[in-house]
Amino acid sequence: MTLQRYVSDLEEGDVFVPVRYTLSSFVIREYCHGNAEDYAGFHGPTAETGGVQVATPTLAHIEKIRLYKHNCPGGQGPKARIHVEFFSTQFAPIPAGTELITSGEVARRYTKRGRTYMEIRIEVRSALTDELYTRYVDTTILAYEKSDENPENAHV
Amino acid sequence: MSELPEIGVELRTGDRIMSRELMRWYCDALETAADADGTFKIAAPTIHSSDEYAHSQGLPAIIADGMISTNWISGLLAREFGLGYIGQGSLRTKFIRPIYEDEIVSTHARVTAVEVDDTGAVVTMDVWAAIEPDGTPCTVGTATARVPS
Repeated sequence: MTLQRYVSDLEEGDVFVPVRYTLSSFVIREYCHGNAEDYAGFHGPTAETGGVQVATPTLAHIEKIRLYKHNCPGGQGPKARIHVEFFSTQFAPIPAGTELITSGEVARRYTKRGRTYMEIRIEVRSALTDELYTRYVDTTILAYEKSDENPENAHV
Repeated sequence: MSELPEIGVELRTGDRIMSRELMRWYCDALETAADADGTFKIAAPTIHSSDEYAHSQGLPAIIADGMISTNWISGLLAREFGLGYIGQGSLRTKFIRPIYEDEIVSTHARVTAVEVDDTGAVVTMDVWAAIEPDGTPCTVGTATARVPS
């Protein structure tokens, strides 16, 4: 299902169609390989992580990408996004193999100093028990180059 | 209770180079993780991997995805606090300066508060990544982790 064709078209109040998937061991390891993260508990079961492989909390950022891919099939739009702020809160470790549901919404879209910002709020829960694992707030600039998007919309 | 860190204690990783290869690997890993279909993906050109594309977006050169320095800070916290961070902590980072190719980056956490409660304690920290050798901050924020009783 499509929410908007492009990410850059998302509007404040838009609610993403949730994504349900199984967080595989492969996905956790591959994401960690990509940022040279070698903490053992992200690559396999360890005593420190309770005998299971767990997700790195920064995988919350991938939940945003996953929601974009499913809800905005046209991609970003004409300009590249610039990530401004990452804010994740963990409520329980996520073991590899857990079936998850990721939901989210566009909490804010505003103009500040000529650039358009977008704040996304996301929750990651167990698909089976509804246990809350992660809350994530992500702020991006929708285009690095300044635009003339209506500055009267600014509330920052 | 596990040993609590003292206020003012600073944790630090060794320096790392933000290579062009790492910037590109991150883009590929992001696509691979987001698609989650068990196959490796090669990302389309981005501001993190293509000079031409970065220039077209008004940038002077490719820049690292801010999540790389965030991941390095996160790894520091995972090593120090284990599940107390991974399952009961928080991390907030803001990207205040781009990281360019071949810049050297260090990551840090400094304890600012320790709040003891019935089941342990919550440790609050300022966290940051810096460009070395002069220590210019590029990613800044705060984090929390729980230390159990």
